[in-house]
Amino acid sequence: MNPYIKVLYNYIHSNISNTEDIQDILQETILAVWQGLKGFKRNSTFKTWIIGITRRKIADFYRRYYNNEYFGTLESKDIQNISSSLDEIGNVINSIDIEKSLATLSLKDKELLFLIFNAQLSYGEIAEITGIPKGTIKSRMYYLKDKLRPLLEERGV
Amino acid sequence: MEDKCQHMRDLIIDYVNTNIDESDKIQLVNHLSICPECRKELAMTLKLNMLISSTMSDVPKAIMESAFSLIPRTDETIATDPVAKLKSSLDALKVIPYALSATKKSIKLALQFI
Repeated sequence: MNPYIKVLYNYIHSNISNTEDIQDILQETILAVWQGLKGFKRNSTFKTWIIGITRRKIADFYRRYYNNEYFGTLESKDIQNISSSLDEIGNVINSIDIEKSLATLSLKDKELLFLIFNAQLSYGEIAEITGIPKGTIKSRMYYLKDKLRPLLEERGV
Repeated sequence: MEDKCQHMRDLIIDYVNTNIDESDKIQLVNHLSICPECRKELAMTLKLNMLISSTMSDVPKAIMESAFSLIPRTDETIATDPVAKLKSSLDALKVIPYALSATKKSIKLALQFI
């Protein structure tokens, strides 16, 4: 479990800024993992399973405190939602600084980048966790990369 | 973009995440040797990965230390479970043979000096 704590902590932290809330959600997540261990079916990998639990705990938090629809819409399979958020990225990425651009991406896209590069999940595993079809996730990623490409190449990071 | 390159884009993500299996890796390396576009794609994905990974921070000590605090402690579990309680009290008996043999050894050792 310990090797995953850093990923879980950063996943929560990327969605929630208050330290006490992060601490509570991490504790609740670990408790849920502990309680669910006996029932863990191994249909998915352990990592995918615990990240899925963390995601549900973050969603619970949003629902409880902010009545925020973000996680609801993320779980929606409506392609219309995705394309409108892609237009937003287009505008954001025109700014000069790529790090600033990354910081101002929508929560959905930040989450996608987090799950791919920091949690190191495959498209299939992300589809399993979020309920979004694999093809849609791929398209979002292609679009994100195409938008970021000129900035990354220009900066020669 | 060719279909082949489209597929390679997916493999590049797996490669960067070290999730790629050996046969896909060979396929990717062979393709990269003949496709400058996919080499660019790899370079760009590595840069993006580097940027995103750099946003990961270490878990603050206080959060790490309290991470498991909601999980009931083992001794509390023993205290509430009669079978576990009995087992744990029997554990103490297991020590007796070791204690006896240790005493025996030290008596033998002492006798050598008399």
